Amino acid sequence: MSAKVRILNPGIMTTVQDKGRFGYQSQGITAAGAMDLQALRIANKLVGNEAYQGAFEFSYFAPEFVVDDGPVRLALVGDMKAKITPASGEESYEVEGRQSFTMQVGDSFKPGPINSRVYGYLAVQGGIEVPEFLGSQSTYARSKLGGFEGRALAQDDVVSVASIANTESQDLAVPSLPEWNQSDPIRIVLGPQDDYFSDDQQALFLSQTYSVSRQVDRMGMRLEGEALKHITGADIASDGIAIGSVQVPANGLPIILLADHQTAGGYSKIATVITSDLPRLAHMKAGNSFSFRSISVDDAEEILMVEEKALMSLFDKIAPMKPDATQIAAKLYKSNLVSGVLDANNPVPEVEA
Amino acid sequence: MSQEQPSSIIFLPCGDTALSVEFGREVDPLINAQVMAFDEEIQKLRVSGELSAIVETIPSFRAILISYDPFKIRQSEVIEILKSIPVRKAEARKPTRVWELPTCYDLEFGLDLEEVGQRCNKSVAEVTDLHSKADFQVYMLGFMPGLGYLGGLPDALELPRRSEPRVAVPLGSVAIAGKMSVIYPWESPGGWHVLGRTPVPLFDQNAERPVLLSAGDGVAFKSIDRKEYDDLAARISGGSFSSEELLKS
Repeated sequence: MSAKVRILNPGIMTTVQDKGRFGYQSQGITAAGAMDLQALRIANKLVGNEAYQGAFEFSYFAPEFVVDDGPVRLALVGDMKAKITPASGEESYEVEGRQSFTMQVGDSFKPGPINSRVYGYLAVQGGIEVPEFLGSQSTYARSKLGGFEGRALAQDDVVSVASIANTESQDLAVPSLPEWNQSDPIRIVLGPQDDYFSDDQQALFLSQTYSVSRQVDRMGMRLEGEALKHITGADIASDGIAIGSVQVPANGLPIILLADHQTAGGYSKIATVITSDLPRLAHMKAGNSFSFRSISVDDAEEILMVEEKALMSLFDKIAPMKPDATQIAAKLYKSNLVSGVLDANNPVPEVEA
Repeated sequence: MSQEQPSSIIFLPCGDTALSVEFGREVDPLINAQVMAFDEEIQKLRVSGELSAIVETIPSFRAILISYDPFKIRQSEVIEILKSIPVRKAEARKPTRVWELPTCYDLEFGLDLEEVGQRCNKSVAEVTDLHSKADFQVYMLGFMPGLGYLGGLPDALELPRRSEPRVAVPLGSVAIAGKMSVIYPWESPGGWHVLGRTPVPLFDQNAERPVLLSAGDGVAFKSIDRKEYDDLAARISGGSFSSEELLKS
């Protein structure tokens, strides 16, 4: 069954993203995919989807939309809140960026801003109904491929999404999103072209504090700091690029390559950010600062396994939402069950829906 | 590094989900032939199941980037298996298939033909003749979907890139720089010298295989006049064209 959401305000760079388009980078086709794959997985988990089902990814501001055809169940994951206004005339209520919720035809979704992070996700139970291109729904806007018409959402777009058969099953929430210590270094594995730099320059790379420049997007993140010097030159005969590669062009300032990176490039790559630190990196903003720490491949693999276990135990803590007090009170009023007994503006005891 | 006998390849970590197998540091047809042969062996091991944890490979001029699923295999294990693949002697390799791309070298399309002629001390006819009679080979694809880097440009046409890149090189432009030629699958900024244009789509989102070229393919350019260009372009947009027609037997 199909439902529809109509975009009232597209938010910032709202695109459909899944795990990414793999298997075609040898043809020059960028993988794209969610900037924070962990958040994507949490969002999908909250609506019972497959781990990497395509979802809406946005930065700083989520889209504002109305459900034209439904009902739909969505999950919002991000450091933010949003307000749902039911078409039924019931009182508006707030949802947090760590829960699923159900919207009926005519209900509208108005997001607040993302607080300290950059990316947020809206997953739809059953998925977003955009065609796959080469096995993936991920949008690569630079080449107008994948997602919704190969581009970010715009005002008045109507996007088909899966509908849910009934609204009886419960909305879920995760107690908290994964958190990071912002002062921790970003961990990297040196290479593949660390030998383009002397020991002194490698030491400079690992000891200095870099700050994120204003040039940061889904493709990459340019850093500011003391310039590194190459032994002979910055250029290499172009080779394939892995996500998280830390490229150092001739100006000596690193560029970390992210989800929309080109498949190959001609600058030396001093290091690669480990998979476990990519989500944290994705949420860095211009002006944020950090340093790098070098670890071995073995250690990076260990950390990845530990991270995965932590995510699994977070999934174990997913539990039904305790409905918001005001929402329940409004519903009770509406059904005239307890008219006059409860004040909608005062807390009521938690009630299971 | 000696380009004659990189019989020892090196494995370089690219984080915890990828590694690079490096065959040398130069752009060289013989090294690239080794890359292609090695990549074929990897694909066989993926099919046989021994390297089924590999997600994809990106063969390039002189290296292969190998991405794998770290939850299925560790990097050290990938390397152990790769070490069992024999590195072939650096020798020229016959391309598995050769595309013949009809290309119109009229001045209207060949935006830099006259300048290239002047800088190489050739007439325009000599430039287009040299380019259309050369045998090219796809070293790798990259930069944008479907863009192949073609080795095999005659030395007489070797030039550095334009000092001022164009803001928009038209789609289908056939261009040269350094020791290589490219065809722009999209309109794009670019600093290569444009010699002509092909109506053949190098990237077609709606095709079963959207990208025409693969690394290792052979490519030749067949000079056509403006009328042939228009006819072919009309046939392509009308849907009565199959890229199979371009395969040289």
